[in-house]
Amino acid sequence: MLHGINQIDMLVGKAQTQPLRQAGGDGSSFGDFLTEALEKINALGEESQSKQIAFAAGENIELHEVVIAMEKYSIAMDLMLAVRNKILEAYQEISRMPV
Amino acid sequence: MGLFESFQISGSALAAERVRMDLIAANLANANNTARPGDEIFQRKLALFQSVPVDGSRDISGVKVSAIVSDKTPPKLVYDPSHPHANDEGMVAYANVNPILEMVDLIAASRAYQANLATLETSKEIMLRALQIST
Repeated sequence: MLHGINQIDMLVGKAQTQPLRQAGGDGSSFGDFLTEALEKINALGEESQSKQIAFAAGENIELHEVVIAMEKYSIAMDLMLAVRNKILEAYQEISRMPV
Repeated sequence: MGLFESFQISGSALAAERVRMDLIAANLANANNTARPGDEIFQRKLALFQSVPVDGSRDISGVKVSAIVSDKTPPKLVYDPSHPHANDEGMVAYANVNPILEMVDLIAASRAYQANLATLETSKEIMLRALQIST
């Protein structure tokens, strides 16, 4: 009997804990992906803001460029919110799971 | 192919059409220029458009103004001996701008601008629609 338990112990010892980051395939985790996406959105936001400021300051910048930058930021933001809502939904789905 | 490539393309076209409209405005503003005989006189300006690849793609291209050229048509001569710029025969050289032609070009440029705005609007619309799939 004890011998059997020891065998199981050995199996447990051998089982490698799978790091979460391997899920992505290329060594990047979902968290990294999210951070990267957020950084890109932030860059779009900064671009939009700098163009607005440049336009307001009377620099030589086309109006449609400003509006397009704003629109890009707005769409990226909407996409980010959609992703966030989905993630929250998934989390709540799991937290509601009866144990 | 990035998410915002269509924006970039439409944006380049809007910029190009704006240049064209600026040139038409300049042409109309200078339509009544005269010059002393032998002096250089305002010549109608035209924008040449050329396709330019947007980043990350060779097949899809935006547009840019490749050059601004002058119309080489000779100036309009009007008989007006009392004009200070009249030559020996009493003819005054006016800029080679035909306001009617410029107005037609202006309509064309304005419609082209609107068309590009429509594509921009539509691509924005479908992006927002696509986001609503999840809700």
